[in-house]
Amino acid sequence: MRHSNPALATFVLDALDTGLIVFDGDGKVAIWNDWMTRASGVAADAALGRPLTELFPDARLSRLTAAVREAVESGASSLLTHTLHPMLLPLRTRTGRVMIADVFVRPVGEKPYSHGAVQIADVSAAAERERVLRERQNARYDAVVGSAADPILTFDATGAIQSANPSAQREFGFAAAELLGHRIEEFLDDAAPWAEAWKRVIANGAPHWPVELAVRRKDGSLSYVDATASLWMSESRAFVTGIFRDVNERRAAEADLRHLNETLEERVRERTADLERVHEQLRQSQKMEAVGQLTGGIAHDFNNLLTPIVGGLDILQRRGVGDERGQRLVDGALQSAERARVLVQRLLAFARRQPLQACAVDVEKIVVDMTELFGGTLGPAVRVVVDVASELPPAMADPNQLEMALLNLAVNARDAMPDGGTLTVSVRCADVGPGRKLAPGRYIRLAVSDTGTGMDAATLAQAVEPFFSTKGVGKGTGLGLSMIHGLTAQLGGTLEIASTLGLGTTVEMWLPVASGRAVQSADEEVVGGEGRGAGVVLLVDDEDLIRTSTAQMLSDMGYTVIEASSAKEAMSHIHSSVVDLVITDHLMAGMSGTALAREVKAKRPNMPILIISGFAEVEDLAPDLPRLMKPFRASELAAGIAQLR
Amino acid sequence: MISLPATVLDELELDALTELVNIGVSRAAASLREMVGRQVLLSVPTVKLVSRSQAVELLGQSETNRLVAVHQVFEGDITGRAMLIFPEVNSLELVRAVTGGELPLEDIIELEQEALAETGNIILNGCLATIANMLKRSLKISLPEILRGEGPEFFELAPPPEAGDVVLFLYINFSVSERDIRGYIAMLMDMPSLEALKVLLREFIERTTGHSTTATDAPL
Amino acid sequence: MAYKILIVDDSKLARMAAAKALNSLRPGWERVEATNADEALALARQSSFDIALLDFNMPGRDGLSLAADLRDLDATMLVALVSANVQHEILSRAAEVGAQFLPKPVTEPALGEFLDAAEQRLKAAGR
Repeated sequence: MRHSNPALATFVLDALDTGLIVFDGDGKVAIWNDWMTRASGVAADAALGRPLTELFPDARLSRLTAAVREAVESGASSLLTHTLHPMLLPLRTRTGRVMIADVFVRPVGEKPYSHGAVQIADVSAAAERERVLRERQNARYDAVVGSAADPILTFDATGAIQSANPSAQREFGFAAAELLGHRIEEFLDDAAPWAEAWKRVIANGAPHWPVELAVRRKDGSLSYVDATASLWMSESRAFVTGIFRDVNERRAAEADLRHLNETLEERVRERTADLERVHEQLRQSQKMEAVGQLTGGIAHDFNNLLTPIVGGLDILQRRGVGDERGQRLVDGALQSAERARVLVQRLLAFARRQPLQACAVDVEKIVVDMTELFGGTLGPAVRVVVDVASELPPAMADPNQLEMALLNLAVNARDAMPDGGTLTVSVRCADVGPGRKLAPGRYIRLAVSDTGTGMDAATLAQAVEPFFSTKGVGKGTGLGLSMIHGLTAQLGGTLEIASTLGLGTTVEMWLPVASGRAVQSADEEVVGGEGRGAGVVLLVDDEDLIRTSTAQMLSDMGYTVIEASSAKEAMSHIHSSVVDLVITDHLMAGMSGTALAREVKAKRPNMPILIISGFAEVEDLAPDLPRLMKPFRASELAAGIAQLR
Repeated sequence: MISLPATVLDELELDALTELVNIGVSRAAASLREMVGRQVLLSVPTVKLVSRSQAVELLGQSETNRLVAVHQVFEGDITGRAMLIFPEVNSLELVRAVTGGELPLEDIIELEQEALAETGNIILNGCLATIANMLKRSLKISLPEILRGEGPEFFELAPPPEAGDVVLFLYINFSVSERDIRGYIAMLMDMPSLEALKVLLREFIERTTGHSTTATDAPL
Repeated sequence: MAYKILIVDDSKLARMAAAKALNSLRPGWERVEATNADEALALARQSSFDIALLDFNMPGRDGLSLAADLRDLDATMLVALVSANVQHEILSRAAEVGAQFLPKPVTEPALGEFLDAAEQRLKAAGR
């Protein structure tokens, strides 16, 4: 500076619109202008000779005092900006507002410098303007980016993250400090797609947005995002801002769809298998149906064949024909024929032609009765245990068939225990809930268990099949379980078999509980005793053998028999002869026995008529017609006749 | 055209200079720490003596992007320009570190100018003042000014003072809040200044090591 | 009592300056110099040092890391970290590894004080 008036210099210092403090080499105030007085409230007299730290004890002055020292010792000039030192000194503007100032420190005097000068410039207005501008920008930015649902990241030209919005922090699980300065590649499993797009965007080209990226969150999970980004400039500096939209939901949906497609084949296969299973079951039942029909036919023929056998043998027995040995033979033959008859009955029951006479049955009584019989049939090596619950309600069943079933199961059990074992028969009452094979309700569970050889899974699967038997040729017919299965199904129950190889088998019959009380099973009465009778019987049957044997039976009983081989023939006899009783076979060529019976009834309303039928056709008969099922023995024939009176 | 300066500093002189600069920037680091509130580490691993064109080349090799520099002039027995140079991208990092890291990007861009100026001021003063002190000389060091450009223009600034032909080229490493920022310091001076510096360094070496340098160290 | 002192600094000048100061303060002591952390560790493994002066600001591993390694090697060695960067964090980190702190540039009086105190401690430890 050059001056003509030294004193003027002093006035100038006080006229300056800027603060001026000059410190000596010890950091004490040597000059304090008016501006400083006004702004700090500290008068020059108070300030002179004191260090700044004394004048402003609460201010953080280390940088300023160091700068002053550096100025004096080294001639260094320093800048203390309001940006980094907001309110370095407690100063106020003329309106009393807090002053924001920039501070400059320079060496004063000749080198080495004796003093340091501190110049304080009020930048409050500019700072305020900047602040307002920044706030407005930030507000606008926040309104969009700050509250955006999508993660938004800003990168500098080197790819370092310079800003991350709250969504980004939340979505990726990192705090801002963990993201800033880092590169997004650090969080990507595969950085290649991003690197590719980055090259394009930074060259201000147009990459193929969006780019799908997999971001590894802080917790290690993957988040899929679609990224789009664009370049922007601040002065000459390039930045890239990118939006990373969450596509996890979309991907999940796509994955589901893919999975669905992939499993479609699988599901189709499963469905087809299901269908096949159903078809198979249908086929099985059809097969059963067919077999049933077949056996029905066979049974009928059998019955027809058996009738003269039984009839003839019966006569022989009654007449006491032959010597002792001969009679024994006849007995044996009759027993065998009996068994054959029983067998046919069972066969027909299986074929479901046998009408099931379901009624309320006291299962306990049947079990107790049967198990008394078991002792003999099963042999000494088998121990029989009976476990019947008390107060059991009656079951809906056919008592005869139930007995047969029990016997059958017992025999199976015995055969499974060649070296002996334990046979347990248990009866319980159980409730079945919804969603099961059985309809919901109360059931009687009748179980027969043995400690025998058991069945493996393959055998178990076939156990209920007709004609399936593990017993070898000649032993058993293989019809038992399938017939019992049919029986229980017909009654509205089911059959369950459980078996473990080497441990034993349990067969359970589930029968619905009957409403009403059990009908006392009456012992079969053999009505008629000798069955003697008198009178003329018109016997109609187109099968000669049967007719002959039946006629023989009748004449043995004391009847006079007129034989007719057809309904037509019979009618002519009706017209021409005295007839006291008509016995006719039902199934005949031409007019059936039932039709004949009506004809006869029409002509002779009071005529007693007995219809003989095989098991097969009994359902066809009108229920009001008295009937007799073949094959029959003389006693049964007599009983049948007796019921006509 | 690469031309080596006629007067060179020998190994020990360069070593001494490096040591002085390191002390200087370390002090600056301590100073910065006050402002930043976190540990600040500054170091100058290497010092090279190169020509202006070499300096431009050195910058161009590592930095292909734009640069920002804090510029101060020093006058005295040694006269020249001192510049703290950063790649423009790194300067934001620096500003973020220095302002505490909580500010949004926009604010940082706004404040960059001032924050960089002051930070550069502290570092350059640290260097230069220490050199001056240890060499027992006084310099007059100006207030900082911000420059932006590609590199070459930094070394083509119009006088005064005279744009020297010699550049003391230093790499400087910044470490703040686990952020490593690298930059450069370039001190441009003319030949007379370099010669004066050499003399001062010799004196300094003798003072501190008790060695008469002519006896023990041969120039490169 | 002549002790053995290790001086680690990448700056030759600094090492020479330290040597000069030591010559003046403790001429009888044995001095060994290393230019970086690896060299220092190798030397420390070969022979036992009583005192070590470590420059903080070194390329590669810095003085603090070296101090920690030396402590692992020989916990009785007295270590001083030398740095112009006098800041809170470095002071506390030095204390953590059991190292003292000497501000740079090291003046003879300051070094003298440090050596006096070091000698006392070594004597007390029976070295």
